[in-house]
Amino acid sequence: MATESHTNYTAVWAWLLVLLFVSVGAVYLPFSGAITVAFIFLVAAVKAVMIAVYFMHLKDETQLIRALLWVPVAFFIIMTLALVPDIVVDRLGDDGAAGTHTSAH
Amino acid sequence: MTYAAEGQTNREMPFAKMAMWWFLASEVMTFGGFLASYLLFRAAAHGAWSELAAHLNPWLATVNTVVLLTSSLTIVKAHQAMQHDDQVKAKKLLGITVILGVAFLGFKAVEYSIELSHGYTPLTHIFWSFYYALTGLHALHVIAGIVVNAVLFVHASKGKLTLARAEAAGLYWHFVDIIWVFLFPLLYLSY
Amino acid sequence: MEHAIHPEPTTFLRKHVFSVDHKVIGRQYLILGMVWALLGGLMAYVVRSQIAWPAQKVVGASLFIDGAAGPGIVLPETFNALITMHGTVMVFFVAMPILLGAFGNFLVPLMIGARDMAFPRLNMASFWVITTASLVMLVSMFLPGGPAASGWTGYPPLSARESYTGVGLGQAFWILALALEFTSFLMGGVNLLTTAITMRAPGMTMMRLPLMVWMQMTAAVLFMLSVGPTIAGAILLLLDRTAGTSFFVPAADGSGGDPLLWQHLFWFFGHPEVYVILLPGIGVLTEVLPTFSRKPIFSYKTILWSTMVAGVLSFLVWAHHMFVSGMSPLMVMPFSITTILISVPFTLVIFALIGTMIGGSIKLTTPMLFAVGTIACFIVGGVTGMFLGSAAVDTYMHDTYFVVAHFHYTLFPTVILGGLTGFYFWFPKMFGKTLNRPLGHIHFWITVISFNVLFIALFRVGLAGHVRRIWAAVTYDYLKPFQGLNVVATWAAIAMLIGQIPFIANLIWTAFKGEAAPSNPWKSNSLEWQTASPPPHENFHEIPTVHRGAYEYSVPGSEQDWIAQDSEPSSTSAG
Repeated sequence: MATESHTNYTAVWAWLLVLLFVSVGAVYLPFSGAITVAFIFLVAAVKAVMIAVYFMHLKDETQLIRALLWVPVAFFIIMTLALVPDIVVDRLGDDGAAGTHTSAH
Repeated sequence: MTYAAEGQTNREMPFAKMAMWWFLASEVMTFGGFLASYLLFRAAAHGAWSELAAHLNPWLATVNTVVLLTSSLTIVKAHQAMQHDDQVKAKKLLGITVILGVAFLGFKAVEYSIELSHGYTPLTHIFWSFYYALTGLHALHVIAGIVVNAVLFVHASKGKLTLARAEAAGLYWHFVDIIWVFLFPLLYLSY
Repeated sequence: MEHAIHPEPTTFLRKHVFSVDHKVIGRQYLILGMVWALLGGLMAYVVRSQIAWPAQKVVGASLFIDGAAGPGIVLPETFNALITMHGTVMVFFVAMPILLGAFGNFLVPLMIGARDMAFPRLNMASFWVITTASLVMLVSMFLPGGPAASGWTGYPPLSARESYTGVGLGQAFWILALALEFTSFLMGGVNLLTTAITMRAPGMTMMRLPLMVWMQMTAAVLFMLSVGPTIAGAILLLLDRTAGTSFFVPAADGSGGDPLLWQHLFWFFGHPEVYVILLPGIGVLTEVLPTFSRKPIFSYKTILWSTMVAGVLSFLVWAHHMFVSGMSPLMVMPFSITTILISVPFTLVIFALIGTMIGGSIKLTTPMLFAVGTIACFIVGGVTGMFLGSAAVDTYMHDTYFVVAHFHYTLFPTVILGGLTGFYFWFPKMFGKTLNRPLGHIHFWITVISFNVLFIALFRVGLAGHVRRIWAAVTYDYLKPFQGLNVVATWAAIAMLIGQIPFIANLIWTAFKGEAAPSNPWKSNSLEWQTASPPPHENFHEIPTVHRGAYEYSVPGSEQDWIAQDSEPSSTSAG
């Protein structure tokens, strides 16, 4: 059980900080809002995967343990996407009796 | 007395690790439900929330992210120390992890007080309701993690920390870190 | 390899109250579930009484109902509280404690050949958390404004603001009690999964496990992966109620929340939850039917893989509860398709269960009677689910008594008939005594006949347009012709309540005069039957070594018509 893991944790940490500053800096780049948000979210996902794989030792773990992470994430994605037509799409139009959140507060 | 931590029949895996992973799976779904709600409402606002989010302080949050990432490093190194049964080193690293966790909460408290003093309460707008609810729930998880890590710090100072518990606590703490890794950009950087 | 087992307790408190022994905890869950079943059943009695004889004094209820209209007369607000609490109590404080808490805790360590759960103290904690939840729920009924009255599904905006229902802290306590209940079962689920994966006896491969263990594991996984979004929603709802936020309450200028979000978050969990309840019920059948047919289970692998497929699909059907909610029409067809699809794996399971009985040497013991009754009634529930899964039909049927009858035809067979199957089957093992057989048979016939009369009547009134959650049908002219059926249904409900008296009598009689039960009265194969009734503190004097699956009945060439899982291997072993 005391298998030595050969990861250089400090190196992983350094890269995590680099990615953090990349995402903070991305706000100042001249791309459109949607692209910047997507990029920042992607960087966050990469950081999360690095923490999971290296710090949480997923790279050494069994299929079952890995499934315990990716299956809920898959369900989360499915659930969010399934709710988009309902919550995000403004279905009733701009006639006063509008759908939710159409006006800026 | 530990009841069942002494050995398995069929698998090499310690109970604590297996149990923690199952628990984390359910936590992914809980925070996922929260996050999905926030993401959907925000998307539905079609950019209207950006001007609200602009009142947040991304620099303080960046410092907090560095603090939390570093605490993940210290706790995984504590686990590594336990793989060599080095209770003294594990104790020091756990201690630093606890301090960093408290620092996170301290910065968060400062941040909350700045925002509240500007009049941004959970009732100001649904964006702020989400902000306080999301970061509040996360903070509660941080507090729980600090308590556990502090208890393990005490175990290590008596030379009684086990590898299984160090690993399980580490897994929980990394999870709390991962949640923040997502919360940070989604709240502070998305405008 | 042996595990350290907790030492045998000596004091009364440690033995019977604060025990870490899974067998004691399993019995504690059973008692909790049965007490709540009585309360939930009495609530249903009051509801049915009000519908059959509107605004008249409900016999026996004067002590508990004394409102503005006088003692024993149910006001609409009280009616709303009653149906809310009936649903909440039956799902969360009867079904889950009995099927998962009692059967899961008591049976799984025994069936896998372990001495206890992986985390005995966590197990004890989970029981006390649900006991706390029960107390919170009970207290909520006596707070000013009364208990929650928003339906067990708690839809906002009705549930989100005190001013809409007049219910004050009662609703918040309801949310809190549910949060505690969820916590209890999350703790239990972690425990059960860790136990089943890591603590099986030598030779107990995953494919030799009794199907009940697979069902409990799958149920735990479904619960743990689905409950999160509802916990998130519950926190948001609690904030709406107590902090004045508006996550689910729309504002006139469009800047508020979305009530539909609650429905999605709730049903994302709510649908897998009914399978969390169903699967252990099926698990009871997979153990009982082979035993009393003296035949192996018909296709272990079909049942196993169908269950897995159904488990995955169960996460993809939730919006069939929302066809007429005003949600996006784009979602209606996909969810209708997945709902109809999910009937396929369950049909395979039912066929396999029936196939287990065909050609068998049937022993009509009390558990077997209840098992057959469970399957027969469940089929009606399953088939009527197909009607509702078709969105076009559901447009008319939604929120009528047709739906009520449908889900009672799935939940009642699973929880009550299936629970009683398991109760009668494992009673000798759990309590070391033998129940009276004639009383058991009487209990079965009264229960199953009155159940069918009651809910067939409700199918009919539902088709006629009797909608759910209304205080009196006679307020509507078009429902007046069907009032007779409503009265018949209520009499059936009363008969069902009275029909539980033989059961209570049986328990009391057995407690004082019951014969001691042998270790294996039913000549069943799984490991729990190969130890004493009730099992000793450490479960087995020696951890058994397993040589075969759990269903080797009537194996050609063998001397007996059953072979215990830990019997020595021989030429007749199927491996």
